Amino acid sequence: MSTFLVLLVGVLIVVAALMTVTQRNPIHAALSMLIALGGVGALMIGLKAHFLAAMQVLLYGGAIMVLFVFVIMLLTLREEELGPEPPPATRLLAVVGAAALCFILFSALSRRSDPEFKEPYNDAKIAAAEADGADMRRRTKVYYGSTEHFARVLYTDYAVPFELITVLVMAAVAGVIVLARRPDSVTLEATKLTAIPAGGGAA
Amino acid sequence: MNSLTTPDAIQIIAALLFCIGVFGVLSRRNLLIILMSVELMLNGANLSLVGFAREFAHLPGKSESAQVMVLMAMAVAAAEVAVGLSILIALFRHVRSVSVDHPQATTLRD
Repeated sequence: MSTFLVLLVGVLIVVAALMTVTQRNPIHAALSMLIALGGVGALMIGLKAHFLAAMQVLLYGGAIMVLFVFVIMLLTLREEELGPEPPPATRLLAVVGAAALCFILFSALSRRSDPEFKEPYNDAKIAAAEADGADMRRRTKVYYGSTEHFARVLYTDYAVPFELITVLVMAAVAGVIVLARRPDSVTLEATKLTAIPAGGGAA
Repeated sequence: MNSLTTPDAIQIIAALLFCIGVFGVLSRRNLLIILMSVELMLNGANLSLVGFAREFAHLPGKSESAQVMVLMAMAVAAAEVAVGLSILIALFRHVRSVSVDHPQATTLRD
């Protein structure tokens, strides 16, 4: 991945992220966040994480962004419902805190000794075998980061954690139903289909 | 970090993304924006993991474990957003505001 492209996408991500946290209108913030998430997806393609890049677009760009926009549209917030923003002193403290964290992370990064991207182990092994004249079947030719490679790791070494994700999602669904339910909402008995007139929904 | 080689560029972008998310959580009072900032922080961590996975891919090991971890983080993020937004709706129904500094926001019950 060329350094120029990484810099371009990096600047795009940082600017979009800054706009996300500074916009007053939530829908502007949500759209800026979409740009930042798309940029991260683009970097993931460059890092040979093809499946994760697809998931980034589908999960973040699709599911999570739709949830945000749906809630923003559902609430249709007026100006006074957004609430007051904190005074400048609080913002200044927030900048100091974030800058301090940034400094810690950068000083940790600066201790690394000139890393570089080398050819992945799997790809090098395949290339070496093919150079020896071995006729590799498709089944054994799994390049690093391909969806096949990712799936083999996910469904062998990490099959149990993957299944446990279903428990998490189930708990989240149950929690959302409990939280979003109106305390005084109509009971299931009252919502029986008898309320719908015989002519159907045409009226 | 002597030269702007690509692995470090990725890690710098990830660190900046995380710090911007921290700034958003600390400085804003709008619960919607705070949730978005948390998403930015999660994305920064994910990008860092993918970058390290690629950086150590030349070693004979399972560096793609980091990619599996990123998939798990994405699933947790999706669940977290669903629960967070339903809490937001409960808060809005209660006090007609999405500000976490609202005087009645701390009395959210039921």
